[in-house]
Amino acid sequence: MTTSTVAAVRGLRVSYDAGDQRVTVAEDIDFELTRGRTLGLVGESGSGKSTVARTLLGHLRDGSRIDAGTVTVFEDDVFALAPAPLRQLRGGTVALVAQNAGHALTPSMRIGAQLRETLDAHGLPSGDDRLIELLDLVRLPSPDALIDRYPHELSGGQQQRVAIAMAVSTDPKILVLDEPTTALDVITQAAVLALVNELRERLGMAVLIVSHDLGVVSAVADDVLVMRLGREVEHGPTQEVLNRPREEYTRQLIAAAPRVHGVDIIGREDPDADVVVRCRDVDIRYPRAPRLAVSGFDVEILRGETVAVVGESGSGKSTVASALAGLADVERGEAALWSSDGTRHDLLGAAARRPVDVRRSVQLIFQNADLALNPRRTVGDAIARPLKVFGRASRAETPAVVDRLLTEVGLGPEFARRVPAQLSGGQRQRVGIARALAAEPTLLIADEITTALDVSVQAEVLALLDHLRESRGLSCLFISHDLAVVRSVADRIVVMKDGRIVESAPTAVLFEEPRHPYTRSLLEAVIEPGHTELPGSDADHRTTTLDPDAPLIDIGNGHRVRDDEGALTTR
Amino acid sequence: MLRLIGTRLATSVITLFLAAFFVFFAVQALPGDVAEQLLGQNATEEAVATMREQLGLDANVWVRFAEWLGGAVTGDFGTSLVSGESVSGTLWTAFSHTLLIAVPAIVVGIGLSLVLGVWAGSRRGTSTDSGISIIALVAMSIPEFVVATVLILLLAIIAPIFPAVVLGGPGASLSELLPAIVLPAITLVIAMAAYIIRAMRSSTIDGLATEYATTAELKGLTRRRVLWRHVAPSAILPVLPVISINVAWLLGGVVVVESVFNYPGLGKLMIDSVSTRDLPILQAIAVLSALVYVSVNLIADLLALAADPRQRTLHSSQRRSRSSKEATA
Repeated sequence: MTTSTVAAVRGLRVSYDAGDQRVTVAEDIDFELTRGRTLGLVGESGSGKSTVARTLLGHLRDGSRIDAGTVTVFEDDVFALAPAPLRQLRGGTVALVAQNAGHALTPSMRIGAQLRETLDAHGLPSGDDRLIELLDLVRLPSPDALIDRYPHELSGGQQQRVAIAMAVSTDPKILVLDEPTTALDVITQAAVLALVNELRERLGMAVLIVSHDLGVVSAVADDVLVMRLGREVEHGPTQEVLNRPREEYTRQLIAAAPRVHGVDIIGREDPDADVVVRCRDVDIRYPRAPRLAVSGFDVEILRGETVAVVGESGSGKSTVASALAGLADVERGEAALWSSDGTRHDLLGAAARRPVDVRRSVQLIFQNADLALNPRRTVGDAIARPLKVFGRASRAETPAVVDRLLTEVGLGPEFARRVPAQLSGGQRQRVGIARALAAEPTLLIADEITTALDVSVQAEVLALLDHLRESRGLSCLFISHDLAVVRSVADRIVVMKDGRIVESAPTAVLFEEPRHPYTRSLLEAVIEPGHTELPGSDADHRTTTLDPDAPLIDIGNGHRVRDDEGALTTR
Repeated sequence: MLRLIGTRLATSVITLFLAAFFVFFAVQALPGDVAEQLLGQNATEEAVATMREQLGLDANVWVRFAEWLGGAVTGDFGTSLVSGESVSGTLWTAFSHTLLIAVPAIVVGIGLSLVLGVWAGSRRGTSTDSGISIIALVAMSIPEFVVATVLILLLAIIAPIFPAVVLGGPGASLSELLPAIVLPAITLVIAMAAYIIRAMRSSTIDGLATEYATTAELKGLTRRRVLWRHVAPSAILPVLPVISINVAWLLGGVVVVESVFNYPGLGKLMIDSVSTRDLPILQAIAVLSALVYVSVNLIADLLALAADPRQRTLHSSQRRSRSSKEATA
């Protein structure tokens, strides 16, 4: 161990009890953390990366144990520490920032109290001035007011900053970040990562960052350790691993990562296709909300076309999806759907009041497939249900149709008898797609359907969706917060912010000539594998304000931009 | 926040009104009215008619409902058919006796059960946990009259520390009643503690499994602080309805327990009134029980608001997420 080495993990093996057998979560893991450097721990879900990271704090999940190896922080074997020194280590020497600060902050305690108790636990001064100083350090606005707030009153990005402030409050020597930006939008992600980098330099910490996102690791980590199923796949300097991966698995991971740059766009404009959905000036308001959730939404979807709606959380993109599916009330405006024989149907009003045929024509796929499937029904039942409700197959034909649909989404007939708990996340999402297809819809609304999936699975689901669009001539409204995901599937992209459309253009045009300042900052904030530096850390100050009266202006080529300051003048 | 409390208050008043309405008309629907009961089965038609006139029973039913409701609002439930005393006076004496055993039982019972529940939950799988859980399960499955009888046997007969039954009747003074409240109160604590302990135990287990509990532990806090400061305040939320049902059950007069101890409380009054068919008293007891249930639930809701800052501000978004969940299902 050299003098700058602050922690070492040697030959670590962790396992847990599952019934009467022991399952190994991690095996033969070796790494060191060095002062002022960042190690990235990369892997897909189930790779054991979080388990390994948390051993640095002497934490194991219930039922898990260390079978072999040691975790040493400075001179101490973490798992041999007595309770009192272990508490000093936790939060004092090694601090953790958990994945979702929304869940990691105690809901019943004010921000100030939670910060103060960390300081108190480690015998540090905890006056209001110190709390304000900490909140200032993570660049939170008006810290003195924030102290008295509860976690739920903050945005996701602000919560994550509070979590970071809490972690660095004790001047820890090691900072462990467990998927710190997964729940954040790209702009906030860039700002939070820049903050971590800055604090690492200023406080001289060693950082361990756990992520499934190669882009994030590429931009902040000096070294990277790729894990798969609890074992090390590859370990080395970040640029070497990402540019010249030695292992096939690393190569697959890199290939599956969604990118904004250097990927071909499938330009398949078919101007002769008929319009399937047209919305004009749609305003949506949640019951008794003072503010409109969506205002002046305009979109036109052609047959066989995929239109993506992109925006950060709170931009109103999912609200648009629920309104078109009839789950949220439209306050004003028009929305219509044309069936293949040219009849026009209204798409306003609740799903329960729509004619059966309209309900059938619009199908929704949900973000979280575990919640969208009834855990007590078999996959076959779930898919047979729309067949029966919409009269698409007789009782005798149903099993055959279910089998065909399951095959079409790449699962196979044997899945019909399983229940959702027996499926992986990607398989559940495929079932969700098959269920939507069973209704033979005209319009498929996909609401963040790949957000909960690993990158390699995400790539497969996106490919499936694209294949279905082509083979069935489906139109698709694809809702996502991720520009990189959208790039590979969408024909046209609509960018939303604060309930309004700021820009809408064919995919190639939007990526090549983004005009609205907000679109540009979204694109600049994307981090992807191969980036060695973070996008400008001034993301905090680059807030785009919208002029409520600005019109959407058509600048040709199907490209429309909202006439806000800086949208049409500068380039 | 204020509007929320206002809405809850308004619904409580409407609930009470509906309860009074149903109680009154249910009594009207019973075969035979007060006049017939007063005069007995052998009374002549004329005598019954005269009695009805005297009691004002010949008036329109709605007018009588309005008069009865008007009286009830001001605390006047008429006079008892049996004793001829005012209903509210009798009722209040009985209710205050019930409060005398119920309030200590509630305070001790809830406090003890919550602590035991958190304790058992935090030591899940240990012998402490199994011990508490088994005792709670046993207490839950033994009917309260058995518990009461065993307590009398142990603490009144074998070791004569407390009186077995109250001999004084409704007119008993406070000094006569005080030693007699101990055994009924213990019986009630045993009867209700089990439910609260079990609810609090599982809620604590869920609370300890949350990410915020883990985060707090990994901040270097002691386990005790994580448990009481981070886990307990949120863990109590799902237990509040269990507590409020138990409290309402207690205050509504615990018929069996009061009978065993011959304790002159609301439950005893109710049994006596049923056997003498004293309708005005029964009506009043029914309204009082409704009042107790409504107020206890109202208090539970307000406590939930106090314990969970999210409920104070997030009402609209909760509705939103619920509706999208329904759509999913």
